[in-house]
Amino acid sequence: MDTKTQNDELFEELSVNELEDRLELVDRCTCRNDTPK
Amino acid sequence: MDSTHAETSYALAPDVQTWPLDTSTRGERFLVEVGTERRFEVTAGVHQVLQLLRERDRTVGDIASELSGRGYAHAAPERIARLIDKVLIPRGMVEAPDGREIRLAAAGPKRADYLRVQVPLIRPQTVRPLTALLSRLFHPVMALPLLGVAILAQFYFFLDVSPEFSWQVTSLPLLHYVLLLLILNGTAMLHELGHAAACLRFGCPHGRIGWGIYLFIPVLFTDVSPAWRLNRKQRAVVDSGGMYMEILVACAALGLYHWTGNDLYVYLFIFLELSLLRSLNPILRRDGYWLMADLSGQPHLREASLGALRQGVAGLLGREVEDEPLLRGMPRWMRHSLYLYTLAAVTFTGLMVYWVSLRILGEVIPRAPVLLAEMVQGLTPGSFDVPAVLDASLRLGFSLLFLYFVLSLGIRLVGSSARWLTGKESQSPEAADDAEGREASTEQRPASERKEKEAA
Repeated sequence: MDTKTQNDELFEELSVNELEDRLELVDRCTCRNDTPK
Repeated sequence: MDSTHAETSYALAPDVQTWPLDTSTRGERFLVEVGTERRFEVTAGVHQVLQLLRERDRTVGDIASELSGRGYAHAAPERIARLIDKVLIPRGMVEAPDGREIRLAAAGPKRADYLRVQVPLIRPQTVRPLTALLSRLFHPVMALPLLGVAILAQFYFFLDVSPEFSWQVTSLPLLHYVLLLLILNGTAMLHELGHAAACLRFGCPHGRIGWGIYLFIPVLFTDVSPAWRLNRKQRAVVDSGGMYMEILVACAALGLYHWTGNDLYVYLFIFLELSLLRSLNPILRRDGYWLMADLSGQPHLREASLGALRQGVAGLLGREVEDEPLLRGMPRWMRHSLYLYTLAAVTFTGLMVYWVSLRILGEVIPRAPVLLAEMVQGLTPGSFDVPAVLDASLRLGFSLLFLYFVLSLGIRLVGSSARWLTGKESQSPEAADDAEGREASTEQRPASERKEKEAA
């Protein structure tokens, strides 16, 4: 078995990845150019 | 060394919970929650190790022979020992044997660092009654008719209202303009409550609501990290929860226009629809990003995309191209979609850098001396003008803040781009072994670079 296949198998058997925090974002445009004079 | 490893016994940390994790990756994946703050995606093999440790204290030899008996080809005692020592203990999943002091910091900082400033505004328990009430809107009996009304509202706007309507937002009375700003900012908070309410709808707790700076953009955010426990469709509903709330407000605005004929409500409808389009952007970390990650079943969409970029750049530089860990278990269709996504992300980032550079070089820098002069003029005895000084100092302050956030982001991006091009994120026993001797920085390196990667 070649090293790549071994690594792939190992990765599929024993690996850990940290998950991102799920922060749901929203922003508001200020419509700067539309500001009434 | 082997016999020592085989006889060492370990126990699962008390605050560890595991759940199935719904992804499109080849092979089963599980969610491991450590306390309330940290979450990991693990493969079935690692999950088996944790389950065995949950039952009772186990020696490495026990675990290795159990796993081998279940068909795991790589479950040698040394490998299991390395997995536990180098990966699971530093991440707080397994207790160190003999009460050894664990430096949890070794596992790196939390991953929510794509928000550069985080100010908690509302605790989850404070809004719980409100989110519990709003969560009823996510029941299909309520949601389906309301979405039907929303679709009809689109037809009404584009067929009846839009052809007659003339866009004159600059001539709105000041009161209407202020009202519009207030309502739009109010709906931003409602948007966040929508995410939290959708989470509750599926029996999942939600976290705090707060204010922060994303790249250089002020944002509101809701922490719905426990939603990793939900299946992909449910997570997609949580992702859409904010937009759903905005659609409902937009429909109500159009209804009010129908009854009153007041143009203010049409502007409100249009701004909310534009906000929805912005929310759907899958490149920046808005609702569209999480929707794409959840619907495609790729929980590490950003990291996987950066992995594809690293591979692409390595190929262009003529280096030996190694398969990125996150791309290994990926179905072919997903891999091709990821390449397209990465191309779109690189193009978008390029355009954004161009736009920001134009703003800085064409507006922020040339205007700064003018605003400074206005401030000095307003402070001069004889022509003392408090409103003018306040106005100029506020504008100057915002310009400098914008400049600060953009420049600090740019400096970090340039400083770390060379390092992340060669970085690795995933932790298998072998990867952890590579990191032996520099364990404390194993995850700090990628985590500290993540902010810069956001720009890509």
